[in-house]
Amino acid sequence: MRKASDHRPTELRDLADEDLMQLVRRGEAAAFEVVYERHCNAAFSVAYRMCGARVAAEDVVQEAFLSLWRSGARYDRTRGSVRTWVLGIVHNRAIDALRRSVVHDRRRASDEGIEERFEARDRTDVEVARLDEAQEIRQVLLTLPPEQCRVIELAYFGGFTQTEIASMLDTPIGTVKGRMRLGLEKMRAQLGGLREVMP
Amino acid sequence: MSAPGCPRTDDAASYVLRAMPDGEWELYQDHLARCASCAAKVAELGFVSDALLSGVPQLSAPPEIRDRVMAIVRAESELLLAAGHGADRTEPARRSLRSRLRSRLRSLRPLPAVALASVALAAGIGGGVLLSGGGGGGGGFTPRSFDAQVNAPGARAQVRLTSDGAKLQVSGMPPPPEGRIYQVWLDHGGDARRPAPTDALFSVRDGRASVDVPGDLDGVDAVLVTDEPLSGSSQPTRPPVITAPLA
Repeated sequence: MRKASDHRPTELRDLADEDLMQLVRRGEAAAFEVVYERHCNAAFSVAYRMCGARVAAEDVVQEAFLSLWRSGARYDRTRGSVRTWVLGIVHNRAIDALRRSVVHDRRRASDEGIEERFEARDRTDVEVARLDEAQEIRQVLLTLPPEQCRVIELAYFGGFTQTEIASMLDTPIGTVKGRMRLGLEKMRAQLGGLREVMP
Repeated sequence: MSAPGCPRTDDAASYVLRAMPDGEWELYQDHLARCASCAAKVAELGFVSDALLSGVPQLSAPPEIRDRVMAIVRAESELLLAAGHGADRTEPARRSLRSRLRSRLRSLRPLPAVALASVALAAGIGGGVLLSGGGGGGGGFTPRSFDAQVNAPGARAQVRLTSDGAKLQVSGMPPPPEGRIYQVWLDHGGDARRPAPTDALFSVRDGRASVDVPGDLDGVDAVLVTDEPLSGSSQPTRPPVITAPLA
């Protein structure tokens, strides 16, 4: 494969994420920039959803992408898409930040407020498709019984441990675990078709 | 390997949602290596947890993040690529180089506070500074070099002024502390004694770095270097580790 410096920027933008990651692994900043451009909005969205504050979300995204840049060699395409890998890193960083109490107030973001301020513009066809997909996923989450939806939200987006959730809800930990499993299994059943189209 | 219907299968959901406390999460990870039933459940539910991240309402990332991230990435890329120039390295060898650099960055330790404190921002300009070069005058531009005072044992730094601009060269320099990066500042003197920030951020490889000093150096008394957060700073958060008077 040629070096990124041998590619025009438009050529780099034509490359698949997995091919860009080969260049990133060699330390090619231009290739990394294309990866960043493709996934920064999704990354920021996850970080904001979890941290509920712009500055904290920015820190999480910055840390996550620098981690991604520095660990590019660890990306394994057989284990999922670059997008999934990026979002997983962002999620882990946000959880770490929440548990370090970096985001002290653990404010939950109001979706309406966020979209007014940072709503993505100029969407491509791919982004429109992803928006539809995201909408479907949210709808499926909302079809769960409220108690299952709540424990999933608290754990995955709130960064709370099962022990903390059990205490917050005054519910046995076994019940919390069971609700998580039942909720995810129901979502799995409803999202089965999505698996074929997710990147 | 556990039999199908492992009693720990319920934990698969907590695992993929990262709801397990640290320590327990790692223990379950070990369990997964031995239990096909739980591993299969984690694979099944992991798809849902990945999908949940894609289901978050989409927003636009503020452009400032990109600027900060790419400034650091470009600086590190230069180091990596410069180290690899001219070498017909195999892929594993390139990874090894990167790994060594990353390993160096991970092993960074803060410089001793006492040593750092010995260099005050406003001090060192007038005295105790090694100077070489000088010259100038005449019609054409005469390249000049200015030795810097470096607050790290065995380290050396020099600012070279040529017709192409200014370049800071360091050797024997320890890496910046973990989670920080070196930043170049321009000290214009005056009463405020507050140096102007530049976007020149750098780390070192094998103690060495060669950094273009951006901006107009006319009226600059000294080039300074401090270690700063990875995003850089608008004003120094620590005393300089390098002070290079341009006089």
